[in-house]
Amino acid sequence: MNTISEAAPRSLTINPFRISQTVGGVLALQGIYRSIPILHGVQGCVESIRTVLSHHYLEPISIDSIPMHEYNIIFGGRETIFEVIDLMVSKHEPDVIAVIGTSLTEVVGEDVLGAVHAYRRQCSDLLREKLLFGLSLPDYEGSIESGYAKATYEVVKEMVHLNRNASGERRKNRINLLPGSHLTPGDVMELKEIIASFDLEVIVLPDLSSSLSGHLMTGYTPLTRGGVPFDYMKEIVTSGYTVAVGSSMEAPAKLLKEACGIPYTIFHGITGLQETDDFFSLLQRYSRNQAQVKYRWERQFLLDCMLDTRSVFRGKSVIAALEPDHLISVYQWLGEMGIKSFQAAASTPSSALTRIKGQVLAGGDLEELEHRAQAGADLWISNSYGEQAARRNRTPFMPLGFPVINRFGAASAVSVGYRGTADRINAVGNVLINRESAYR
Amino acid sequence: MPRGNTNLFIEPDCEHNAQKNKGCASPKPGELTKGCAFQGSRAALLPISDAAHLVHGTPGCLENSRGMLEAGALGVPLSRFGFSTGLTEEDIVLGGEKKLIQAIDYIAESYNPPCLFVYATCITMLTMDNLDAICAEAEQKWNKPVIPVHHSGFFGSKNMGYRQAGEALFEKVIGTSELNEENKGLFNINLIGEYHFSGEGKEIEALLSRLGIRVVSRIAGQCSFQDLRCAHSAKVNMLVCSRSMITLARKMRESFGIPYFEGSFYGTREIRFSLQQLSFHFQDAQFDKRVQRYIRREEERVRKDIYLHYKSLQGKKVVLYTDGIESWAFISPLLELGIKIVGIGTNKNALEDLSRIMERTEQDTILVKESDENRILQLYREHKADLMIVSGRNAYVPLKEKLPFLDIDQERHGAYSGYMGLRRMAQDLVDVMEQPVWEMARRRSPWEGEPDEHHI
Repeated sequence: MNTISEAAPRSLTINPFRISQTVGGVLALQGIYRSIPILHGVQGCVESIRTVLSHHYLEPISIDSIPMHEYNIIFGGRETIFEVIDLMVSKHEPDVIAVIGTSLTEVVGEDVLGAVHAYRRQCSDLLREKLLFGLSLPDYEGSIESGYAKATYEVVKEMVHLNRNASGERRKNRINLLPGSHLTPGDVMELKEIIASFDLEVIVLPDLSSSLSGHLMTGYTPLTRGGVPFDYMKEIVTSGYTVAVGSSMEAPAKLLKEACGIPYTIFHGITGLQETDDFFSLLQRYSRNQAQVKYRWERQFLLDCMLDTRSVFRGKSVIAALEPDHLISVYQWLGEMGIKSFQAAASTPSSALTRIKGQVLAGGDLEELEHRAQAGADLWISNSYGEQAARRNRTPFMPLGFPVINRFGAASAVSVGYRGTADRINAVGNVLINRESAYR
Repeated sequence: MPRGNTNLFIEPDCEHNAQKNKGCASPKPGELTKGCAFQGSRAALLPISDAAHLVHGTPGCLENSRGMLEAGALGVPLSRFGFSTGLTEEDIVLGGEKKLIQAIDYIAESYNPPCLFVYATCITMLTMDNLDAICAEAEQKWNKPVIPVHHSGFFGSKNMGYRQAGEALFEKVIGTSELNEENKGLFNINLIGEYHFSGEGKEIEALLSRLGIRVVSRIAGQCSFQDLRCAHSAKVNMLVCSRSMITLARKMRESFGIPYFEGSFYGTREIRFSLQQLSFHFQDAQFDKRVQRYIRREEERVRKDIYLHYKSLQGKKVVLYTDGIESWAFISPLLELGIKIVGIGTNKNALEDLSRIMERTEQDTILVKESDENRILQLYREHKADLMIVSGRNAYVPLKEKLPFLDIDQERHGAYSGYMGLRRMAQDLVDVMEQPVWEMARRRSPWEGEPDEHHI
């Protein structure tokens, strides 16, 4: 059975698990070195975005604001936007600045994109060797996934534009990696290592693995402390191949193909035996190198782990509430483990969700999932906002997605590749077996 | 944009009322921000655990701030549920009033809470939805209070939101019900605080109950709606560590004749002051004797404990880099433990916070106003401090520099108020300083040259 239903239009949301687009936009910028997102909203928006990201990643977050006051709202905020960009450029010299419009911007009719364009025209020499762009991410549509993807798309678009006069020389031994918002910094690092093991260079955009993974670089700066450097990022248009993880990242991959002729492949999560095999096959074919012994061992370990844990997964019914791409990835590997039923809610509609066989509610809230959990479920997978509901219904809870708060290591956990898949299977298997042993 | 006659920027009981510019300065670009009025009123009212809290705005307002507001409530309180009208683009164009009415109806019917709070947001203020009228109508229909809380993000800072929440409580809740006879004791008080106090409340209440003082309601602390309605039957209001609801306290004095005072329960000096104030307001000689005896006994015991168990804290040097009330509340207990405060980063504090710091510190404590990260680190290194005490996002300043620190927001193991709290604080400080991790963090890696000799 394959049913995807969009949530019935209701007059209210109860216990939402969705995270708004602006958070995604800000998150993507964290993966670019010496960058800063500037939010066009009131101070509470900035505060809550910073707090929610900081609680999940346990790292400082680079973000600034165009402080909105009553008079900005009445008379328009273009002057203030200019002022803030001026201040940022002169004081901290960031390499990348994104001015992000929120739903408030849309409602008051502030033309953020127009203002950014005007600034770029006026101050082109100030912005040499820098990137300044505008984004509109109102919170009444999309989710963290789409905000992150839109920001990435915008950056790729700028890179393509910068490169329009360059010669068409291509670096065959370098590939682009566009990791979706559901990959942790640990995941991205693992993928980089795997790709590098095939003697391939890799450009990651955005690269959270070197920014939100927790390094102790001293010296205070309001800019991001890690991520892909601007100079390196520019080379993205001359790579030989693109690997995108998550169908939300297809748009930037497609743009690279159309504008620069770089072929691409989409994966959903590179978690699970099938997808990891596909990924390694692709790398073997492309690089004409063999997979290292280390990874052959890891594949053995994974198979062994799948056999060890199979009994706790067998016949289980799972409830999951995640971002669309993450949901598909989780569905794929849970399917490999032989669960019986999968009931899910995605934060926002996505065409990729048709891959899931089972009931999927697109754009729902946790109250609806809770009704299903009351009928009985063996596992509840969602971000931390679902913990209360799972506990109320005594359903074993596995925190995944964003945000995971009050737990350590969520941001650095690895679930990609053979080793990561085995780790994830063990972690979820432990949640299930704990529950089973309680019955004995 | 204050509504009606209430201008919240003017508070006669505020000592800084004479200053020229009313209210706090608006944040400038590049400045640290501290939340908006919407979050302030939610933080103040969410601890009312059996009420339903409905946010009328675009989805982001609820979604992004859900994690940061954790009401410390027990059981399965309704305040843990996030209700939002989640306005879409279409609603904004056509107006969200119809949706709001339906949402209120749904909540009233499915959850049947004793009361509903409806929060306005930036968007609904701009679309000019008439919250007052809708709430009044719903109140009639469901025969329960439906209380609009007016504020929006650009209304002001978190502090403004607290005040606005106080207004809503004063106008719609307090004084609408009476205590039953058996609870009309002699020593009834209200505690009025901020969100810090939801965690500390239990410790404070345990201390007070030992003296026979009964807390009728905790405003901005874990509390039921019914308790709040009876708040006017208390004998005295105590503002705990926070003046953000001073307007509410003043109005309760004017309308119900309840006197108020400000105090805190951090450190024996402050506890003594607070208890003596309470005793003064009750005007009961016997009670007073009991309080004095209690204070004497407890202080003696604490002093002995400090001398016996926490001697190692004597003469240690700390730098405080905290926000708001945390910048002054912990000064007295730290001094009491024999710790030297070499400097305080007053992170753009309000004037009143500054004057409270001045009252408590010694002469040679350095105040770094408008402090930034680099200046705080400089202060720490120049004075060879042993520990940094931080709160909130300031935690990353010492963390990234591998300096020993205690994050007073996140890693306190239990409340720090009351006599037990003082011991707990001392123990936490000892534990932090003795943790081997600080030395480990500074160890050289194998590829940074030969390891130190004594490690071989």
